[in-house]
Parts: sequence; structure tokens; C-alpha cells
Amino acid sequence: MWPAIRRWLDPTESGVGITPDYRFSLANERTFLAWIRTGLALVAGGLAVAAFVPNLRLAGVREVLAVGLVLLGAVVMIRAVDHWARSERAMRLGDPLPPSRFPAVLAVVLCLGALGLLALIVANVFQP
Amino acid sequence: MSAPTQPPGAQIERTRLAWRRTTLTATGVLLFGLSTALPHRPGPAALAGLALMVLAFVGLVLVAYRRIADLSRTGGHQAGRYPAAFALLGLALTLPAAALILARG
Repeated sequence: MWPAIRRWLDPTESGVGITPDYRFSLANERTFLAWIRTGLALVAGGLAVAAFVPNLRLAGVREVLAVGLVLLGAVVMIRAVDHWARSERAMRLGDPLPPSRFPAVLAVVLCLGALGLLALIVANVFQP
Repeated sequence: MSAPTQPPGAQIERTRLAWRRTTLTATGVLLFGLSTALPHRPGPAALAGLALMVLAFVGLVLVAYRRIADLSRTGGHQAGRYPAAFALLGLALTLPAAALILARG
């Protein structure tokens, strides 16, 4: 784990490999920022759940959902810098870009969450 | 891959704009967090959490500002430690939010 964290701070490891085309590095950086924005949006979603979901019959479910979304946002931000560093390193070494199932997993999780919320609304679990 | 001596201007501009969009998103998160927490008359611990979020946000803006300035210089294309610093400050913005939700819940 520590080598991975060190690489977040210096993916080039003081100049391993060759410097890639600047456009690829910049594209990698923009992708990193897009993931950060995704993480921030999840945090906003968690704050919204905490603020706007009315009291549910099951106490605490709202807080669990809200904190879950916020922590998911944090995980996305960590993963953003990890993927950025691994991609940068792969470009320097001429390796294939690291494959990732994270986008698909995240999409499925959020889809299930949205469907779950829809089911809650339909089942009218909100107190009158 | 051979690196051109001067990156195309459009790529640099797009990257600067991406940093700006990201700080805009962070601004939205901070304001939303403050607007939902402050009306509940937060106690000292919650205020400390909110203060942490504000400090983290200021850090995010400073990091983004420096990176945007770097991108405008020639040779400033390498992102270096900016992504790690930005992600760390993002965590500093996010984790107090989780604590605030738990404290209020």
C-alpha cells in the first residue's frame, strides 16, 4: 500500500520511463478532476439526504444513507488520485493503461440506491 | 511517444477550465453544507467541523489557483503533487461533513 501512496505524490518516481506527450498527461489530469467532481457530487448528495429526507419509520436509516454517500464520495476522491498516478506511470513506461471496474461498479451501486429510494417512496415509508 | 516542445494551447486551456469547474463544485458543496448545518444552531463541536471544512475549501482554492498559474507558464505541464494535495484537501472537506451528519442524527 505504501508504494501506491508514494506514487500519488510522485508517479514519475523521479523520472522513471520517458515523459509522455503533454496532451496525454493533461487529459489524465482532466480525468482526475472529473472524478473529484464526481466524489464532491456524492458528498453533496449525502448532505442532501441528511437535510431533506423526512423522518423514516426506521430510525437511523437516513443517517446511514447520508454518511454512506459522503464516505463513498471520499472513496471516489482517493481512487481518483490513485488512478491518476497509475495512469501517469503507465504512460511513462509504455504500459497499457490500468484497467478498472470502478466506474461500472459505482454506476451499479448508484443505480441500485436510486431504485431503493424509489421503492421507499412508493412504499410510503415516510412518516406523515 | 515524442513530446512537442510547446503543448497546444487548447489543451492547457481545457485543463485550466477543468480546475476551475472543480473548485466551483467544491464551492457548491461547501455552501450547501453550511446552509444545511448553520440553521440548526450548531454547537461548538459542529462549528469546529464547519471551520475545518472552510479551511479545507480555502486550501483547495489555493492549490487550484497555483496549478492554474503553473499551467500558464511554459513547462508547467507536469501535474506533480497537485492531484495528491487536492485529493487530500478534498478529504479534509468531506470527512467533517460525515461527522456533522452523525452528530446531528
